[in-house]
Amino acid sequence: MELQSKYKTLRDVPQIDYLAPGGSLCAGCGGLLAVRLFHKVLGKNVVWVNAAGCMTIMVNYPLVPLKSNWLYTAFASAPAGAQGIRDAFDILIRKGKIPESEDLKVVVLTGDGAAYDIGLQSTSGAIYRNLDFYYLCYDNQAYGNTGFQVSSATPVGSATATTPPVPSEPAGNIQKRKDLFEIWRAHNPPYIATLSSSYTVDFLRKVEKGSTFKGPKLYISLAGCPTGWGYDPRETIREEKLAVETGIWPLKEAVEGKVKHTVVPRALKPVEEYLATQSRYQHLFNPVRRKEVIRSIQEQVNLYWEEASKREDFEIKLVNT
Amino acid sequence: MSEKDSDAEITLRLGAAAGDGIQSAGEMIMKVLSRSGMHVTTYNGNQSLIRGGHVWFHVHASTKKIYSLGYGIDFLIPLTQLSYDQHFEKLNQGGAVIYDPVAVKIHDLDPKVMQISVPLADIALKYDKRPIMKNTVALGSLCAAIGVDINVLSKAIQDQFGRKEPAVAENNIKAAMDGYEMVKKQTRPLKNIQYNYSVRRPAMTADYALALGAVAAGCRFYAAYPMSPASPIVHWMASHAKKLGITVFLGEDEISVMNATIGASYAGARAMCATSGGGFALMQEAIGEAAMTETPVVVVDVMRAGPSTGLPTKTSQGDLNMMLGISQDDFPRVILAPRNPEESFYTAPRAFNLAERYQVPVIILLDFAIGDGGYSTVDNLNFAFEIDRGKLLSTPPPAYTNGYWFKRFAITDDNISPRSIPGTPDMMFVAKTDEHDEWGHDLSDVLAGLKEYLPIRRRMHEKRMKKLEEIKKEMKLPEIYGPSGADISIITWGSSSNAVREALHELHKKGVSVNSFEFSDIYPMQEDEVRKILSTAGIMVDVEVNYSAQFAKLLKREAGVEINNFFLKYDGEPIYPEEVEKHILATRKEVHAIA
Repeated sequence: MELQSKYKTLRDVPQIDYLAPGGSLCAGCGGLLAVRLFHKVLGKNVVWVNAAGCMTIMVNYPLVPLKSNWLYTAFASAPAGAQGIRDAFDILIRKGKIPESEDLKVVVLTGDGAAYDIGLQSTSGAIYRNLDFYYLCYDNQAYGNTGFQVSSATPVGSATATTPPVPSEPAGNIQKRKDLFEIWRAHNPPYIATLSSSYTVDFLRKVEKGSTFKGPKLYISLAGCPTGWGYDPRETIREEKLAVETGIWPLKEAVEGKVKHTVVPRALKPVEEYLATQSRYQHLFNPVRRKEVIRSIQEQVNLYWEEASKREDFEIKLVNT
Repeated sequence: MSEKDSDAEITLRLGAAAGDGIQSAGEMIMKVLSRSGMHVTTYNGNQSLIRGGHVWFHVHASTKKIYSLGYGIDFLIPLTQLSYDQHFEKLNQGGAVIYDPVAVKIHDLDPKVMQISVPLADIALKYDKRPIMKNTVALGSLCAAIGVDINVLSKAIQDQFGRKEPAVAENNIKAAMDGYEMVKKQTRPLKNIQYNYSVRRPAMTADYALALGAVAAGCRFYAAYPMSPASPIVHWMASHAKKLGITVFLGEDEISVMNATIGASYAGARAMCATSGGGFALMQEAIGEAAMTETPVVVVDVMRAGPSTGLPTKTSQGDLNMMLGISQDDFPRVILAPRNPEESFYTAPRAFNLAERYQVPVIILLDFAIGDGGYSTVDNLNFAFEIDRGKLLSTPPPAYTNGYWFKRFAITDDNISPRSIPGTPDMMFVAKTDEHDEWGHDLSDVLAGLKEYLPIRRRMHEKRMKKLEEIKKEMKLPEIYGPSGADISIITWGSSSNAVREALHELHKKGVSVNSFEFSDIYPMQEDEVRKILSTAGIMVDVEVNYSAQFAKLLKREAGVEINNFFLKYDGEPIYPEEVEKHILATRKEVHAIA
């Protein structure tokens, strides 16, 4: 039976904030927006376990916006840190030092660098051990904090500091993104979802739904990145929305392994409506149009949705290539 | 600073909030001075944030060759009040503050510092809706104050903005001109320097210089994982990879980076990787593997202040102990610490030659101050250096093969075994991280502890360790500056040498009997030679950027030389010459008091 959600329209977004405004992250940071929304659903009893990344500089003197606890771990090991915290709390509960009703939520917070690359092994171990925790990956598709270098979440065609478009490699990055959702799903956790702050109600519902499960609850949130992607900071929501509407960022969940798309555009918009708005893709349009790269990005998106629509039996209009 | 030769030197500092474009303005004035015949060294006082806070850019220029940040500040350009408050106390007499009275209130200023008031924002607003060009106006004003040809700045602006719409460069040039004219009306140039516009020197950080040197030395495989302040190396390598024929490998963590580097070297490529302390910690196990399999590798650590993530954009020389203690048990390693960008360039080929000649890991220690945080001009670089790939064979000598297997770890007179590339006929071998015999076959399982095999383990371990004796002979002894037999001797290493050398000039002018010993080759140490050289030293003062005097402890451990007087800095900032001078003057006073 479907959960009766508290969140039906934008009016239901909780007013209360657990992050103070005016922090020192980049204006328009999509990752910060995701953290803010996530916190609204989980409430105040959260301990964040963070590995190096953009969110690390959230806790900058004198602008620390947090009202919750925060533990830094080594880059590769945030889920292991979460394991220690959870286990210690379980010991305290067993000893009767804290009541069984304590509802401290252990949330691993990392960027895509830690989630897709250096920390994948630690995450794999934590899911395998069925650790009761949340994982929020804010995915801005590169190593943003160190100067926007390529990560294994960087999409094909994106320019980064380490995949600059050069005459012999005019497309920028040519490696395909890892499918972290499917990697996580292969571990059989109870709940996985992709998120975007631009679909706020979908976002809140998924966090709410995940909390009903004991065990690993894993989230990948698209994180519009004005600094790295190159767009006006005020356009983060528009960019993320376009990513969903073009089908580049599918919103979906997997409950006990069963995948369902939660937002299905009736007709996909052409990918170039999204690509053309960001400077990380400008080399695909100027000085010459890289038709073959744009087409192959479109084909990948089409292929994805064609397969999904067959599996889940929904209608979707693809873009002709 | 009246004794200083102020007509040969300029120190200046621009300060603002992050996002005000202070770094590009700083780099522009650096270009202006380096294209005017000056030697230039800079330091970027940045913070790890995107907007707000306080950032500054320091420039030291001189008609003589320098690598230090110079004395005090001759010209301060504070775009914000905080920038004034943070830096005005360092202003030299005879210098000036160039400021916008709307943004900055001057207070407590030495009367011998000139106040040059320029409506920076108002002028900038003539050319754009927002006053973003105020830093350009300030640069124009500065050019008038230091008496440099404004056309050099115009050209630098053209270069900077040339790829944007023409109006951007044009407006910036006009804004700079207005600033220039306004100051020219107020004062004659405060510096009377003979600029030589026909001499232009490139300016580079040690990160870039090292990358360039490595590629010139035949490095064809470079591996990295993002970490400040080592990232500029991978940015440079990646953007030139195709053109220069380098494979750039971007791993999923530093463990993968180090192992890929070992793999590439094992298969015959000159391979290098770079990181900072935290990443290096992850590489350590694999460096032990390189040592055990006698695979040559060059690893760069661009140090930043730690422990842990520490201060990502601040400097330190605190990783030396980690380098001395990499991984488990004993194995030979080489540690080199070039003092400036130019030396970094020449250190790269040396590192590769040492690595391949002796089949050992070679560590190059840079730090934020010279690696990422600061540029220095370099004189013409000489690309014609010797490339020695060591005992790399393509056909096996009969004694080293049984027609199939190759005696890769043969015991030889010089303790170096011939090496081959996998796939070479009759030269199959196993590169084993367990202890092995001369063929690379395992001693750890059924043979371990058997009395026939104890001597083999001993000899293999000795063969590796004894290479250090040969390597030692190639290590450079400290470079000595100042008079021999001085009362006070400064012992220093790596980038700290730059401030020390500059301080010596000033101390000598004040009649202080002081010299310095600069170490750039750190380990292995020629202990007897070093002891002999330091026996001529006066009262020794150790100068380095860490809390526990790591290099002084190494000197004691290796050469038995004990130092009891220290100037140690560990606040994240690099050493400035005046700090060294102050410490030495205080030391001299103590010595005199005792005498």
